[in-house]
Amino acid sequence: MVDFSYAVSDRQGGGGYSTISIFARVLKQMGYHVHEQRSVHSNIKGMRCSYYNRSGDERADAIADWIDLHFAFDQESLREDIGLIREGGVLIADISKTSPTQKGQPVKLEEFKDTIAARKIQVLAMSMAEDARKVGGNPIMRNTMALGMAAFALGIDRNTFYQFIQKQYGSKKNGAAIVESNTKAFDHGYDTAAEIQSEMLRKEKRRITVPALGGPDRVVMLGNELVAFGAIVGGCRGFSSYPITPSSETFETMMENMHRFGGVAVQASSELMAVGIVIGLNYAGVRALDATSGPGFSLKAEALSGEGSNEVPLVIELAQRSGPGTGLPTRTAQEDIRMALYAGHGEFPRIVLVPGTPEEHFYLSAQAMNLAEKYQMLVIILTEQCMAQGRFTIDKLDFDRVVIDRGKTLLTEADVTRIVEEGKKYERYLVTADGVSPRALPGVSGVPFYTNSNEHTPMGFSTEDIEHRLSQVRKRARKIETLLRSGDLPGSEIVGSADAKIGFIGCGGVSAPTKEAMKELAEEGVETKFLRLRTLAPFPKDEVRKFVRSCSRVFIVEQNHDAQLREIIQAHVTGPMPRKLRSTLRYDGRPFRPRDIVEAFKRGGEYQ
Amino acid sequence: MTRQLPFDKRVADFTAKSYDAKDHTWCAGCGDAGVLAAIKKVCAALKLPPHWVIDNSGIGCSSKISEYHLCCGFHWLHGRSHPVAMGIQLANPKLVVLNAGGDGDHYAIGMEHFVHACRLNPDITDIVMNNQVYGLTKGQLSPTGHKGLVTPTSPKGAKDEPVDPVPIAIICGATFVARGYSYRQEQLMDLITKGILHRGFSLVDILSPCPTYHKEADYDTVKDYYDENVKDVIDANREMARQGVQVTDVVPDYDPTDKMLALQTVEHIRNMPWCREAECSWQGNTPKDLTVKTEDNVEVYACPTCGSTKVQIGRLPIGLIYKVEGRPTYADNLGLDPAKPLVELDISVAANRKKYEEFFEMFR
Repeated sequence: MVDFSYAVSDRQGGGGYSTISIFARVLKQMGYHVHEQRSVHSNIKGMRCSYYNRSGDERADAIADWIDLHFAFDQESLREDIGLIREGGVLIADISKTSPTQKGQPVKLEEFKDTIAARKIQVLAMSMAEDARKVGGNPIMRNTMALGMAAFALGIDRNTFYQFIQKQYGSKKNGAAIVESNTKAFDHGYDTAAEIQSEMLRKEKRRITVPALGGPDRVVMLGNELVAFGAIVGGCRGFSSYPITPSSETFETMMENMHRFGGVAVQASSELMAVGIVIGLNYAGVRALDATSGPGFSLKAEALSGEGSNEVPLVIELAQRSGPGTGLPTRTAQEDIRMALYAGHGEFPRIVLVPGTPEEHFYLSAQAMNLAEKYQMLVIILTEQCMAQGRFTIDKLDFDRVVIDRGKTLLTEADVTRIVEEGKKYERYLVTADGVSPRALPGVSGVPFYTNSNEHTPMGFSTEDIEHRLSQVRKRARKIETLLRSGDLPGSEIVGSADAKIGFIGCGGVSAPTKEAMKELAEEGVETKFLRLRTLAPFPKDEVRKFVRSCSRVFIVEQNHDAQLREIIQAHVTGPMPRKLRSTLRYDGRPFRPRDIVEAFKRGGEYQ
Repeated sequence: MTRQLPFDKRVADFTAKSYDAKDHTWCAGCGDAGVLAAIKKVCAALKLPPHWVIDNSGIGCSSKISEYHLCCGFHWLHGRSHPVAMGIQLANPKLVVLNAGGDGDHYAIGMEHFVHACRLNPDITDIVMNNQVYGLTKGQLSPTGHKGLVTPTSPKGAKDEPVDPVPIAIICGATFVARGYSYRQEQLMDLITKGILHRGFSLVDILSPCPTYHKEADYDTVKDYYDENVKDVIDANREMARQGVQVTDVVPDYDPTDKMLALQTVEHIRNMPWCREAECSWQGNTPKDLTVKTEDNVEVYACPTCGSTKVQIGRLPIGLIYKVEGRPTYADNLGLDPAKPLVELDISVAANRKKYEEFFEMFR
């Protein structure tokens, strides 16, 4: 099994992302799966940043506990990452005396000499920025120089890199010249690495190899790109959003590509405008999506409640980031579970879906489009930064799994006359056994009708009559019962040893690291199982109750301080269970690594 | 360039009564009833099929209008109607989208949406029932309330500069700016008709008196206040020309396509002093035209002709104030084809599979 982890410590504007990105594409072409995570400041240039990648013959959807090969361009950034370089790992460092980036701190390996010695880290250091300047190039070309060193260190044919250097820089202004000087920089790095390592190599083989795996060149997509694509395949032809991290890529993907499918995507001038446009599109019969994060979702609370009364379908992606307030805008969290479940005044039904694998970002997004229209309800796709902005290898997306279901939408005049008796009027909020009223569309359905967020009669007109009030409240509530009986909601997934008495419960971004932690524990002889929730509203009480009963101890893994998921489990299912239920929490804006969960488990559950 | 209206031969014989829906619950004498009457008559005159008319309204007495005429009404949140109206129009441009509300909806809490609608030029028609107060919540001052207006939230008379949506709309790029008055039905119907036919964003601000909460100390009724204060821009323009007030080089008659003329005429009307004595019809150009006298140790303005202190500064401009044709609409700039509404797209997987497969390949 090949499982190769590589990363870069840099400063924003330093181009370190180019280094790791080209490297990832080379590996992808060699047949590797690729996973990428970013760890950046909420800033454009000059603050430190790191990128963590993982490639292997098998797919991994979480970053590893270790780093095999590390590119270091900045001291402050390296300080945070060096502890992850494993024994015998390779450190490629630019030791130029000055840094070419804004506020950059030159790398001084002296500070880390103890760690380097203790772990026998192979150091390949050269003054890359300075050398680049010397050969008449831009010091930022140290990025490709570092790649040259990596190619030599890992025994990868240098020709594999040339085409990706062409792809990365060829289309820029003065592309040909840039490609040529970057190729020279690459070769310079490669040859220098050969000189430095020749001694070492004479004595021992290269410790890390990345053999060509053959196999197909795979598709890689961001979680957000999958959400956008899933929505489109699910029939979404309208989109409006306000730019906010970390839902930005859903927005960009829609803005750049919606036209290919005949739809429309617009940038709104506020979060309120975005959700309003999406409501208008949905009301008039065009499936539409809004994508936002915590601060934006807070603003939309009134609109959620309005929808809860007027029953216009609405789908919103809530890509979580660390809060509260402005929080850590570019970092991951699961701190909006409560808000997703409860935001909006009054009482109204909603669905909250939580994708926990990359593919689910596609399939659940498509399913959200159906659920919103079929049940005339609010559907929230709850994602989080580490997966929304993580890049994953996607083997296949099965479009046939998506079947458009418009429920009781009355698309034509014929649909209306079929259900409305001669001489009677069409009632938008007809009281039905399942709670879902047949839904006409303006214009195309051929009947006038009233859509109202005031309490209303079946015709839709405002009313304060007790009889109508009770009838409509109960009708809306019945939609939940219908939904639960329908089997339309994604159920939980249980993995691991069926007989295990130790269980994990979690959702979303903790899923992949938890599954890897379980593998590590299994290797140590500890059998566990994992209940992965995919729907948080309506809450899957029976599934959770059954799982908790079958365990002697349960670790609820989540990325927040208040243990929000545990709160819901205790409130709706188990009651307080301080001995059986344990919380494994991480709320520093960084995603869990598998080792964190293993170590927490050994300590009785506590991580942060 | 006018927009195409939806057609349905089943409404060929429709009259204003055909558009009756729920009976209104407004107070007797409410200006909004005049707006409602005008809308029904316009719909009948244009033979608009009710299911193709959207009335998207906000919150307040005025926003109840969407329940009172037969159409596809949408009663939403306070101040948040513009984005919904824009989304509806994008989904299906065949719909006639009326965006009704009050001065609170459009010019207070919804001002952000109003301003962006002005510049984005969506093909919708704003119908704003502007009455200087918040009626449904019992009479608080609205940002459009004039200085000195006494209400429960301005017990000593409003002190702040009021909002005037007309110049705001013109400056922000609105392509059709008009103001009507509930009690001038012919003109109001004409403005609403022109607003609907205009291809682009149409503001029809309507002075719609609230007899219950808008109290004017110097007038017997609020209708008297409006009757005496309104001034049509066409009339003002003629008077200005007669008095030699030059606003542009050539001013033969009011030209609503002239932006500077519109702004200056409105500003002129807002500043013109006039005498309220029934027998005296003096009207000046600027407050400097008034004389100043001292009464009980207080300096007051007085009419230079009859000496009365019953003078007022400024009137309320009404009429078709500004319009420009041919500017691309919001939907035009998004590249949408009015002949192919989004709502008619085939969203099945089968019809789109090839495009989906091509898109997926882009990520390899």
